[in-house]
Amino acid sequence: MQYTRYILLAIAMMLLQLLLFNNLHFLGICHPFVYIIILLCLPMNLPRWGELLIGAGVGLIADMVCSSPGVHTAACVLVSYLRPMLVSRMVQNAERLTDMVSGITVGKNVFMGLIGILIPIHHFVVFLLEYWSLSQFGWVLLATLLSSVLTIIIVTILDLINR
Amino acid sequence: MRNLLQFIVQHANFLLFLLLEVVAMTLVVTSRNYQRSAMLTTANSVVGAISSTATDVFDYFSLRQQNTALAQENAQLRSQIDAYSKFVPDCTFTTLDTCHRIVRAARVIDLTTWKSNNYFTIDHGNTDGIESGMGVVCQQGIVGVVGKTSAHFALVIPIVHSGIAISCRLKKNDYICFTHWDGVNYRYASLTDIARHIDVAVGDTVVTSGLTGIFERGLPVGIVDRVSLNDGDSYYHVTMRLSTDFRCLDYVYVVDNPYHAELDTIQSSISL
Repeated sequence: MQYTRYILLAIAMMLLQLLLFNNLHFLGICHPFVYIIILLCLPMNLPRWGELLIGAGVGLIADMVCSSPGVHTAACVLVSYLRPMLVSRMVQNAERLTDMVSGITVGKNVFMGLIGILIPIHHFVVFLLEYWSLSQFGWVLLATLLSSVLTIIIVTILDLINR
Repeated sequence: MRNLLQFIVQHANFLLFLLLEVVAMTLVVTSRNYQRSAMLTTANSVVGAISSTATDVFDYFSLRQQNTALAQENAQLRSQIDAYSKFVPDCTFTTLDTCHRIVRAARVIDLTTWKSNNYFTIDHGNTDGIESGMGVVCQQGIVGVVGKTSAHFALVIPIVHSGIAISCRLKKNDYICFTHWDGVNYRYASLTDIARHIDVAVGDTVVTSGLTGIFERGLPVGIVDRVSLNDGDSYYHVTMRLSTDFRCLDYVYVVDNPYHAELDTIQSSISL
């Protein structure tokens, strides 16, 4: 039951990314990648190799959706690698969290901390690989900052609605 | 050997992480050239089909705007016919006039303008006769060149891609230069190869040169917006405002030059 719900959420978020968020160009530099919520809310009782493979799969689909081969795969695999380490530092007995990670299951502060760290990392990798030049490093940082803020706001709203 | 196995087992997750990152980076690096696969982009059949369905739905909201644009284009074409008919009363065209033909009109179903290497996807592919290397134009001016095709979709490399240079001319003195996009603002591109003795000023019109055979001569490219020349530079720094607004791109025309292959062959034989 939980898996059906998760897969439906994943499909819905990918479609939203393709049809809505890819067309948001706030200030010409803000590009939210809200699909990352699919990886952030995975339950914690998965084996780590399983989570990495799911991360790579989600990244490949995101690459198709955003027309950028490899870029989202690299960022998603990094997020999938960091997330279990981060959650187990922030929550005790993280393995017993068999439900999807959300503001309710891990607590509002922990969830905010989690998305506040992982979303900027993900966006930074995406923009760095997408611009592919150190001469525009300032532009990469600005895009990361503004887009992360927008994604964090949208993810927080989605988390509140999902209660 | 035992130690090695033990090491692999202990760090299995980290090694898997490294392996997946290497695969991802390989994809990133190999996709930097033009011959990239259409598979991992929106020219992919599933994502392409979803995007094109969504475009069909959102179409209804822009019908009025599309009508106005088409009416304007009609008016413009009619006035062109009037102008030509003065020169050619019986409307006989030579082969050269029909050299570039429009293969077909296509819809843009997905595009980005914020990356340093932008691509966009159109809803017709090689089953409709579209091949890589064909030019893409719209009502406002030139758009780009077809990079890769799949059965029903094609991936177009627009002027706002940092790896593409389109040969163009200053309309007033026919001086030949090239476009170059620096990867930041999709409304502006720079012009390279304009030597310091050339007369170039803000407001000059830039059109296609017709030299490469992809585009016919005289299609609008942009208007010169800023001109600067430092002491000791042999070339101007010229920025132009592009005629095509890529964020409003909807219908485009794919154009083909039937003699393109022939032209390429003879040109490459000379350079040897």
